[in-house]
Amino acid sequence: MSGVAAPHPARAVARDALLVLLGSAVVGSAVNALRPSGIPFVQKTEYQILVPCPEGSGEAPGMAPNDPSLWEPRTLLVDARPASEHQRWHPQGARHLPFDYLEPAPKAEVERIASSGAARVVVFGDGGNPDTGEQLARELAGAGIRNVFFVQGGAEPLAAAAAARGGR
Amino acid sequence: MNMPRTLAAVSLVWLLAPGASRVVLAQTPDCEALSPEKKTTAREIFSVLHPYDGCDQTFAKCLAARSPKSVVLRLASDICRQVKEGGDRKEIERNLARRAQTMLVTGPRADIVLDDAYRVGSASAPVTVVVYACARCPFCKVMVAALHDAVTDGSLAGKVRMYFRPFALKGHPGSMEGGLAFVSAAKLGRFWPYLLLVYKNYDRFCPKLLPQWAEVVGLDRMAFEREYADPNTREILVAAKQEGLRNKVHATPSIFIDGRPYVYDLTVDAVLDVLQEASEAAGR
Repeated sequence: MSGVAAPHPARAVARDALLVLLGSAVVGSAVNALRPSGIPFVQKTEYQILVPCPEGSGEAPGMAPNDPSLWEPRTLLVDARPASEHQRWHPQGARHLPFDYLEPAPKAEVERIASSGAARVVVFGDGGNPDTGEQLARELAGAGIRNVFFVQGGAEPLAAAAAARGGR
Repeated sequence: MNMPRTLAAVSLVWLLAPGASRVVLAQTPDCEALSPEKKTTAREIFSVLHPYDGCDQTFAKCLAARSPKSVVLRLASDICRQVKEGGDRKEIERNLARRAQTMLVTGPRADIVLDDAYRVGSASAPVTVVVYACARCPFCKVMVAALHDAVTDGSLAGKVRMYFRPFALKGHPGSMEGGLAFVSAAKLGRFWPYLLLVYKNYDRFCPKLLPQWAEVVGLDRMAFEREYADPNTREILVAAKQEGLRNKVHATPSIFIDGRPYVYDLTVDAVLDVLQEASEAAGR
């Protein structure tokens, strides 16, 4: 007796795989449809996997304006105030890097400070609330510079401390 | 021993014991929807935690009252949502404390400029929510748009008024330009339509398109560009950022409810739920 020719083994495997796939899809869809909080086929609203966006600043402790380490040779002083105030007064050797609330400090300037070889970087600003010195110090710390501090109270008490020491 | 009576008594106890806890959970749909295992977890938490408002007893006792306070039901639902998401008792306790910190008045209120050009929602709404946000923050576009919808014609309409405060983040390219554009649109009286359009086109954002979008919301392009270039616009943007920094804003979105910083879960659902609670508290 001549029977029906058996399908090619590869075709039989493919057919069975397809049947399993379809069966799984039907069962999966049915279970999903029955679940009270089933997964939608088309996501119409955005998934809430969003996180707040940080300002990207680091930690920079405050330093008293009469702290003696301010005047050590390996301390780099950075003036965060605008050019006009920097020209009016600044400690000798202080680098000028005016702080801007909206735009980041120029990369080249940040790199120059990072490669200055200073043991510590101390930023002083307007002493306001918020203090530009503190804000710039945090920005520099956030950019990866270590040992960044800011002068508490800003330029005014720093100038008084410098005068008490006989100027710098 | 009377066998039928004993059986009846056992049956009564069997029916009442889980029944009592069923009543507690049935009052909150989020709790009722939990699996039996999670319901047990929720019951355990309810038996030890206390709501920070509305009732001085444990949740279990407060919920078993004849008519539990709305705030108790709201907090219970919130706990059940967290149980569903796999939160354990300690985590839920911490979260409840953060929610309490958000809701209860402690310390001085944040000093925030409430400019009506940036307001949406009824001016007489009893609750004020302020959002510090950046034009280029992906979370801000979701949160601000959701809050806008809720306070205009959603569940918070008439109950909450929202003020937007621009907080340009240095780390986001285009944030300053977007912020300047927001302030320009506010100065010209079309802040909200403009902001929503910018957020809607978030993925297409390009500073060059900002004046074009101003025209789309009915602004005069020349006037917009004039405001955009005006140093005063930049000053306003800087002032808003300084104000945010004074209020310890270091990320966006940052939310303040009636001057108190929002320190609870930063998800749209959680914020809306807390605002509902705040509006109910204001109405008491």
